Amino acid sequence: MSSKDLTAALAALTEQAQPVRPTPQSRGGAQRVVSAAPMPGAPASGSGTAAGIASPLAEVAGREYYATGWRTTDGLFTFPAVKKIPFTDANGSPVVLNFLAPA
Amino acid sequence: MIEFASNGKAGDPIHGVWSAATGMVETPFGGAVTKTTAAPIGGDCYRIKVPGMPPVETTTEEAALGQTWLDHALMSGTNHVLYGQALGALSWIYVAPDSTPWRAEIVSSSGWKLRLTRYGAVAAGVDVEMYEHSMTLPAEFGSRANMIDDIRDDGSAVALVNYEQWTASESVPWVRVLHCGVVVEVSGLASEALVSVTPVFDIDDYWGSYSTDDPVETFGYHHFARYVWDAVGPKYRYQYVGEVAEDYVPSGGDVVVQAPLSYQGAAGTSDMIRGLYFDITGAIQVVKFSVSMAIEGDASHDPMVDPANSDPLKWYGVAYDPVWTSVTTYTLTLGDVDLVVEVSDRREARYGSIAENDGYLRNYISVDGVLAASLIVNNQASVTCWYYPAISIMYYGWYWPYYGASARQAIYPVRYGNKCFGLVERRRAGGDQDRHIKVITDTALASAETISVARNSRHYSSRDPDTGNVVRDADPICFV
Repeated sequence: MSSKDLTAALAALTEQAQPVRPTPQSRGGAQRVVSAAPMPGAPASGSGTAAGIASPLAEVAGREYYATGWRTTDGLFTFPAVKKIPFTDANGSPVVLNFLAPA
Repeated sequence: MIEFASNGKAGDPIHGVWSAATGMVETPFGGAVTKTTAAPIGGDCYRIKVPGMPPVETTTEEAALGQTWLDHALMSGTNHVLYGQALGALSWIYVAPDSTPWRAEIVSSSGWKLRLTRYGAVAAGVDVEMYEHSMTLPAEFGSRANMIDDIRDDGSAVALVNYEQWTASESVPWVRVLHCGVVVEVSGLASEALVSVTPVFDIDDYWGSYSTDDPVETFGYHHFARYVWDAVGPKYRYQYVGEVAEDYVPSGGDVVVQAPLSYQGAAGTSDMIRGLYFDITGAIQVVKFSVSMAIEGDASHDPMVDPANSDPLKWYGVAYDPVWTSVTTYTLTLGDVDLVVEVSDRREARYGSIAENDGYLRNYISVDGVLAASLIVNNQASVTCWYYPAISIMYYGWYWPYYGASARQAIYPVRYGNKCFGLVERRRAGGDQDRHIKVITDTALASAETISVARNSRHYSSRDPDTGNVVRDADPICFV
């Protein structure tokens, strides 16, 4: 066997000894998304939800309550249960928090 | 006081039997816990149920703290204590058709009004809603005292009575002399509520009926004073049928009202209204106390009046053996339930002496006219029946059958709570002795939500609003 043949044979054996690397399974990580928030210093778009929320938030008029409220177990006392609070963020965009009805 | 649990529950979780002696609440799980509350007066207890509230459970950990979480509230005492606060004798909770609770209050302000104030709406800086609706009450309610005898379960009606409190004798727990009773009904939303007043009785009906036999015998007097009024103070007036008399209460003594001869008789009946309550259907019922007495036997020669056996006749060998029996029946009627006490006296007179007296007291409960149980109590053994064995004297709502100066007996009705009435026997022989007429079975009364109890006169009792069972043996007690 020539040296050339020997080299080819060793190369062939080496390829057989190394298994094919399996394809990694997806672990459900966060999907790649593209931020729509403006870069610092960029002008605010004022286009609503797509523009994100800029702190701080300032409450504006329009807070809403559930009519039944949060009640004592006997039903005699009723405490206010917030249903909705509207805010305006630092960019002047409206932000709304909606709360679950009390059980 | 509102308590908040870590699992989101809130309310008043301290319930049980409250004792004035200790200020503690005996809880259903055993042990007593302290409750910050105004003292409930008497044994009244009401359940306030707001529709739509889901069932609530008490965890093991909460029970260990003495807590009982309920889907309803309890209002206690004649002063109507709720969440530790006394709403007042003329206030209660009205649950409107929209399930909102309102404090209803009967007020006198330029005429009678029903004031509805939103109850339990916690909101800072918001005016509490309040509405007033005019109502018309009989003129009697402008004087003396008014109180609520009972409240319909949903607060849509109350039984309102006008009364005076009579405490003339040292031996008498105060007695209500009722003058008038009405039902006040409320309906609709608070802002546009309709208020109606329906008379149930007035003073002319206080003694529902009266009759007496012709006074063919004068040995025994059955006095039925028809009415006593202006009774608070040293002077009182009383009335037989058609006749009015006036007298003074003797210093420290009892009042003995003797009917004119034309109204004395060997037998007679009388009844009077002692209270109002709502039955299990919500209908108004009248608590009526009736007294009747009958004489059987030959009583024509009673030695008291006709000393046929006096010594001169005895010397000549003339003897009479008059034997007679008087039976006085006291009945407290609560709807279809009667609490009945019979006092019987048998007397034989020979040669000017009283041979024997085997009077006894028997009480039983009858439901729908069917005798449910009976009990014979021999309690007259020590009573010597010398004179006036058949005398029965109206005593501001009770009756004293006289057995001579040293021993006498009274049967009078007592109100323990809004659905808790009974009869009490009081004997005076070397000091007063009270014995509340014990009902034979509570279960016979539970279906009618009418309960009587057996305690002495310093004690009150109440019922468990959940089970209807009577609660006894505390001093005094009330469900809170």
